[in-house]
Amino acid sequence: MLNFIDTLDFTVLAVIAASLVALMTSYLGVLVVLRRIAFVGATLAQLATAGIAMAGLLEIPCNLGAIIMMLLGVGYFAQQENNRYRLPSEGMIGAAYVAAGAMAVLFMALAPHTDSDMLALLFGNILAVSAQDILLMASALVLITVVNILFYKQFMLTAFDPMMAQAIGYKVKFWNWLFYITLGLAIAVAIHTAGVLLVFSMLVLPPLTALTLSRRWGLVWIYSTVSSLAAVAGGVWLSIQKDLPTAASIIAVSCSLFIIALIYKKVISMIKPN
Amino acid sequence: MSDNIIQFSQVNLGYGSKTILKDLNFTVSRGQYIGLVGANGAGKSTLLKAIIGAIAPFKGKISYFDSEGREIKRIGKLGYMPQHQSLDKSFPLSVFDVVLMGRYTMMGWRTQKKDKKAVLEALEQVKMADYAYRHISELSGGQLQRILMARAIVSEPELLLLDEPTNGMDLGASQDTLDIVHELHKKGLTVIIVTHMLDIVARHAQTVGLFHHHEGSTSLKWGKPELLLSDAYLTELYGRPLSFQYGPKDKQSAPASEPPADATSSSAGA
Repeated sequence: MLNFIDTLDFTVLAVIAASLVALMTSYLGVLVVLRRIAFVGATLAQLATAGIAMAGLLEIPCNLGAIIMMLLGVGYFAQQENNRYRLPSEGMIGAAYVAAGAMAVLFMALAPHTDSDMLALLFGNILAVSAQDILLMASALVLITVVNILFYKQFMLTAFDPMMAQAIGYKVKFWNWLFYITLGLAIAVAIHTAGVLLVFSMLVLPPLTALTLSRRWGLVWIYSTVSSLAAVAGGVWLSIQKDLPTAASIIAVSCSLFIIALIYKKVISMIKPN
Repeated sequence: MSDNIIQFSQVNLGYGSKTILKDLNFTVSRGQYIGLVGANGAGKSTLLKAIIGAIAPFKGKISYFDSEGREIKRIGKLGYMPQHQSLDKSFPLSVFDVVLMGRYTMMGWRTQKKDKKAVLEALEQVKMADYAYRHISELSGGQLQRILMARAIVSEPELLLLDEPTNGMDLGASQDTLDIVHELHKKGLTVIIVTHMLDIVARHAQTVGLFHHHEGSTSLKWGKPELLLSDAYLTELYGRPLSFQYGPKDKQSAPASEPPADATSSSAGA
């Protein structure tokens, strides 16, 4: 399998890698946006980045570093459910975000071989994706998809109405924790291929596009997936045609799709007010 | 069949480090209709949260019993109706989707015909069947409240917890909702209702729990509505002169059974 993937052109590998990131984040992103925890997604991405920098310092595999930091982050956010001091949750998330950013910079400064390769690892270089990265992301995608299909009802109800979820016997804290684990896993395995900005944008922009276009759960999920894959295809094409950075091109196309969806919705509401 | 469904023994409840309700000792009997009344912030919703397990007691024990009298971890079939303001209308969910949530623990991975039938019947009961496939953001507060009523009853519960169920409803919808609850109660359902509408408690409840919040602590007094909904108690409860005209119970709304003896004297003092 690895040999076969290695024979593919680097642009094909880039498209596959970005598509895997898109598929992992498009569904989870809908719940992230609806739960109003987009900044948690950004913070987990930043923590995964710090994990990669830590891996450089400790000379352990990058993905292992990202997963360790992600687990610490998940523990921190799950603990927010028991916020005994009633501190504003936005402030607690912000504290984690800046701490993760500072850790990433400090680990990089302390690492024995901080160079442009390390920067590429931190900010992602989707055109340099390896066959092993693709296999890891594909495995994570299968796991995340299976968990989210099997426990769709639990994830949906604990997000929409936690009190009702508790009333019918769901362990809300456990399901929140499992959701954060799947989210963190998606981010951790995607981050060193795609970078913080691309992963965060894919968690937020395609779900927003989908929620603009539909108010039915099934369609929102389909639109989110389609718009994130379209952004990948359009972004990679744009970056090759105009020799632009790939991740930024994908984000630009994704932003454009969101703006087009907003304009479409506005026009439709003007034509059909009700 | 066992009489008791829930028992509070020396229970303290609160949030963070703050205790709101102290030394709660009472028993809810199967088939009982209880009204919880009190000023805002007195702890009525806290008590409901403790019953559904959303908050754990600081002290004491909350016990649940099945119909054979065996102690169980939680009530298997519990209908819960929150206040509609607690829901997020930005979720891409239809009325059908929301009511279906009431059957999540009864259904498999996919929606079966019997689930669909139960949802549509529950919507029919609350006169919202025509809205089944509308998005929840298209509903008024009163309509959403009716949807939440449908969700609470769609699982055919044995215990129904209602948190200000008629909030935002017009007079007709309020009466429809209370009639549904009354019909279910006549069939043996246990009902605990939190409300500010004293006439609801006077007409339907067998037992009333008065939450009196005073100088940072709350006491809970139990008794029959005709005893506790007096001017003296209400004036003390709300801290200003109040009068409530207690009329005879509507015969159609009269409880089917006598209030259990053990629910009339328990009180929790801070």
